[in-house]
Amino acid sequence: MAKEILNEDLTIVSEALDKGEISSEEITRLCLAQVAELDGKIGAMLWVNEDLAILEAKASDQRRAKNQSLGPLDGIPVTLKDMILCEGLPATAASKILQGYFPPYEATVAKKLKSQGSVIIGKNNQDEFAMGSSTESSAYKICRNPFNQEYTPGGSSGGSAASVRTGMCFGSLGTDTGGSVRQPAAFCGVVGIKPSYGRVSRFGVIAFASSLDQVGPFANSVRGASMLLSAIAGYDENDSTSVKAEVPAYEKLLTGDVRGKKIGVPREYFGAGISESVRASVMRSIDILKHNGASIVDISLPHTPYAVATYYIISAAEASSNLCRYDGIRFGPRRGEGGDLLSLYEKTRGELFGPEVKRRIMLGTYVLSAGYYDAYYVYAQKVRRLFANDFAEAFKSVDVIISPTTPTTAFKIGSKIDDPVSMYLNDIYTISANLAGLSGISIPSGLDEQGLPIGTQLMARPFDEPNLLLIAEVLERDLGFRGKYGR
Amino acid sequence: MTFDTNNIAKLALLARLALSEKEMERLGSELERILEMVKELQKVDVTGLKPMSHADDRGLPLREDVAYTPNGRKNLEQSQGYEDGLVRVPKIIE
Repeated sequence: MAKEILNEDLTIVSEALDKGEISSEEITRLCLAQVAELDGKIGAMLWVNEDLAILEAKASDQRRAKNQSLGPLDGIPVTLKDMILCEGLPATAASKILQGYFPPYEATVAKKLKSQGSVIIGKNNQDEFAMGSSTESSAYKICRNPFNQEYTPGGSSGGSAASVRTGMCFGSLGTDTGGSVRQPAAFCGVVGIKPSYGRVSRFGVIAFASSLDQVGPFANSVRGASMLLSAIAGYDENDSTSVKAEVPAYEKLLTGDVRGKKIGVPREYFGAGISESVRASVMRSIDILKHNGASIVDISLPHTPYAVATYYIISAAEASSNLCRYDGIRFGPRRGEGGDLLSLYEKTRGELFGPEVKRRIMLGTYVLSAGYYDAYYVYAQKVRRLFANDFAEAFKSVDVIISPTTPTTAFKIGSKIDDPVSMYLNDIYTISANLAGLSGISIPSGLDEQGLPIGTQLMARPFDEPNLLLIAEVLERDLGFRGKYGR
Repeated sequence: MTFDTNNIAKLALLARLALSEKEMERLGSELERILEMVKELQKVDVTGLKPMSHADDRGLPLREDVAYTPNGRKNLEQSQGYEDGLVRVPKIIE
């Protein structure tokens, strides 16, 4: 079958596999060839295991031949962000401190995808330990935006977004701590979901900030991303922060009808700093929903200006604790051997962590240190409650909240890497959903004057993915981005 | 706190990070800038608010008090320093 199938979405490929129009081996080989052809200039993949992928693809074909398909994801090539552990593939979180590390166990989300027959072809490039918004802080290589290689794909799950966009795979799992699935989805013109906190197990996912992290799927359509979400969601006894709540088949709840739904427009998300093309695109999205019978409600999220500061204190504090385990003792390379224990720790971490990671560890150490713990960390946790309260209040009168995913489209590689605060301000619209544990999605809503994608974001109450995805799909249908810009 | 070399060095020790002089200088000024941004938080009135450490207040799920074999030690052979079912590491207790 022709290479054109790489322009299709996961749902189309799933149908084609079921009808026998293509085999999993054929489509996997096409994806691997796409990696070989494009990844030199895109840099979306860190590790690829061709042999393992072909074996899994053949096994999928054999199952189908015996009428024993494991479901709609059986035989579909997917990728995983590097910090998601998977047997047979390295896991480095794009850091030198885990160079050469092969995990002795795997993430629940990887196991779940495999149990449904997905073919994992490799691990995606990312910002080191998920700390970043551009994938520029990967210790291995830069990832570039598929629409224009002088621009970043966003981050930290930039590799995941770029690989889905370029047809290297049909779905990917990333992680979202402050926007790291939604923002690269917006920058790369694909769909990205941040599930409610506790919806998806974090077992086997290298931790950045444990009270904020969630694994989230990327695909080229809301329906495809919904199918991936159904596949990975659910309580896991190995993750006590995962919630015992039923997992519906999300893709079956996409009714296409938003009449009577109330869409909140938060005035604080439409102030200064948004580029004109982003504003116009999101306003168009609002009009589309109105045209489809939803009502638009003006709401306020008054603590929005404090989101970035609150997030950076909490996430840096949690990260500084989580990253203590990288000490050169039990796994990963070591430095400073032959000296005393302290110098082994200091040299291993000092030499093998990148600058952004060190910056956040230092910030986290500071805000947790004696004399400053109450003033910074506990204070930020109290402000965090105000965010949860703001959203609870807003959701009394609306079903979902709409906003830009980011204030601008992708920025040029190298333009913000030396200015951490400017980089952090990029996350202003995505961060609050992580602080409050909400579900969120970014869908591509247009291109700017330079041809770079714009993302519209929707947020819903915790565990209200059904409303979130149903409204997102109607928006996606009438925006027509996929019809116009392929994939 | 201002981030002079002395304070940066103390933090680096706490964080177990060996930093060059250049790194210490750079981190000092970067942390100053970040702290300027987070000082904004002091304007927020947090009287009477409980700290929120977790997005979901449902509490810890419990399981049956039944013994089971956890993840186990398979696949450890690929670890560096693997020897007879164990992993040899540098001495950590002095």
